[in-house]
Amino acid sequence: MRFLALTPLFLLLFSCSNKVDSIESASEINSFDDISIDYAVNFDLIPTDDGYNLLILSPENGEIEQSHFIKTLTKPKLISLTSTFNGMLCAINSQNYLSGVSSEKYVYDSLILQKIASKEIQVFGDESNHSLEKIIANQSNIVFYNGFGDGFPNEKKLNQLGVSTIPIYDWRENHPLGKAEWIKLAGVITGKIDEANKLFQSIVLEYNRLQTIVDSVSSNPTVTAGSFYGDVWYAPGGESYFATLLKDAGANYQYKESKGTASLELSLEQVLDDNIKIEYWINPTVDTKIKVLQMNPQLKHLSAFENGMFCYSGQMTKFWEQSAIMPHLLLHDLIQVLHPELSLKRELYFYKNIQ
Amino acid sequence: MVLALLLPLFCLLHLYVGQIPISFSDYWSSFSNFDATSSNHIIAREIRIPRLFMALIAGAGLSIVGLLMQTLFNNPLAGPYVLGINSGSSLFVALSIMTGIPFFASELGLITNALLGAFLFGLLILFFSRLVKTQISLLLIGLMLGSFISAFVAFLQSASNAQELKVFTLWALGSLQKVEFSQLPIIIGITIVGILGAFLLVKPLNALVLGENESKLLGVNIKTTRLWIIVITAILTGLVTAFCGPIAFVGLAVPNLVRILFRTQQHFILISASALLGAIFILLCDVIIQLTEPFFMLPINVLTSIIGAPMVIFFILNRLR
Repeated sequence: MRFLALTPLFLLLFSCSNKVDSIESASEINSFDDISIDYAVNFDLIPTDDGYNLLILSPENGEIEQSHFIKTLTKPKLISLTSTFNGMLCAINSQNYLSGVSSEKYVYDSLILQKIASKEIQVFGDESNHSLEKIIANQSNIVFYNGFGDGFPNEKKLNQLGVSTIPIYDWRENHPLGKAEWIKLAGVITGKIDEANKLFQSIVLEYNRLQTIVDSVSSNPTVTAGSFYGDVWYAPGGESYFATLLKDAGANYQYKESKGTASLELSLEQVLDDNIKIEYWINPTVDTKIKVLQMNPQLKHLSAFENGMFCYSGQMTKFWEQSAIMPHLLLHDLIQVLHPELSLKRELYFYKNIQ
Repeated sequence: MVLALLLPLFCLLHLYVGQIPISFSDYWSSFSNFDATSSNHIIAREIRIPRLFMALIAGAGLSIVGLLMQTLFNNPLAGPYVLGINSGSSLFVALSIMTGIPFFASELGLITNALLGAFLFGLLILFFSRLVKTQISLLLIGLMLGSFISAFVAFLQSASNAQELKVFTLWALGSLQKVEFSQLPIIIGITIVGILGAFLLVKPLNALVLGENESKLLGVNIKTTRLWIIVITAILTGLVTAFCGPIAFVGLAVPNLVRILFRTQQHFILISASALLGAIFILLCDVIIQLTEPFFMLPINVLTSIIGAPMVIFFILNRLR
């Protein structure tokens, strides 16, 4: 992989949906080298003469869904309505480019919180419920959003006014390192691709090192995952990102054989029948036993209810912001939970035992 | 008579269907020799039995309350929710899910919050009922309260995130699976009190059909009757809404259906038939839900309307012919 020899310049995406708009920019970059995308399957960065084309790819067939042209700019102003991307900006110390976030409720980083308090960073609300005029008044260059819905509301109007909108589809990736690889986009946009590449490489190395440790274990504890919404238990699909993470952590995931990345929808009876003797239950959406029982009192019958429930719910903002860019720590936590015999010496970073 | 015979049959069918095959010997042994590590025992005693009773209670309770409301307001469009009792539950549940207010978001849970909301709004309606003189004023107050709370809940929804929205929406779609076996005695006890209370009001209810003034001439104490109807409504509606969510349609459709089928204004018959038909109707809906569970999850509140609305239209057309 080659790294860009960037001077402290910053790149700016300024167009989308195969449409290239002209924009004033301070281009001092001499060349735009290839950026290898090794794990992520939902985006690609293609070098051009004067920047990069960001391609958003379909998870189903790899076809190009969106194309955004990225060009240099000295000081990008970014609105990030996704905690994941905030975490990536933080990981390469680029919080200073943030001019807006969705809400302080979803922020963990202390510097961003400070800037929100001092009004340097504005709060824009959820992507489906924002003020268009407030975004325009902010004079930001790009808005990053989760893309859970169908595009960004008022996308065309914003694009016409020179504000680009980019979905961060890390949540579509089915490999933990694929999620983390989106940091390369953050690197390109902030002009810190070297730093982003180096960080990603170190994450890959650590992730793979942990995986080799797990290869030595002789037993794979039984694990279930997911939670109830209404009467439906949603469990990660057998080919999902979380199922991959569990496999890499040496777990025998109850629904590992299921096809696809989409969540499984299970009834209460099915869940009890499948998991009555399960050893571990990872990721209930709550952080106390009382709340688990409020979700459904019958969950007390799962063997894992006694001492085998682990969640990140006690520190949601930390998880939302950092888990995508720190899959090695996530894997470390899971190995530590599922294989105490390996005696990994570190406090759990994201997870805690539910009491 | 037919309804009384159909009910046990539907109960047996309800116990029989489900994703996990449970035999009747499993039911027996889950009571005689309960094994907490057996998934069959747990599914039989802790899931299917409470689910069966909640279906019976929700169907019978809401249908009776719907009948009481229709008689009190002399309006076939009235139902258990016109007084806004469910709005109280919705408000408290919405506050607990979608705001960070410590009291609501603490470990009270949705059921306790819903119960509290229903109780407070029941008291509020009782207070209003003492102030106003006519039924129609009370109906209007109930509807206005409902609208006011709906707007407030909609505001909370607009400011909440996707996960909170989903939790609230699914609560609003109803569920018969939130009750524990150990909670059944108290729930059944309260329901019996409510239903017996309705039967004690048969005479004044029969008189109310003639109209408010005629009832007064027949010696009915309108204020007291109204008060007791509201108390029973608050108890039964609050109980069902708290434990199952706001199950719509049953309380509106079943009493009308009973009137079409039985063509009487005798409230002893109407209350009995509403209770039986309401219970059978919810059991039928839940049987369908259990049968379709391997393919998709249908919320009870969705199915009651999907099945019930065409059924009522069919009966109305049949009657007109």
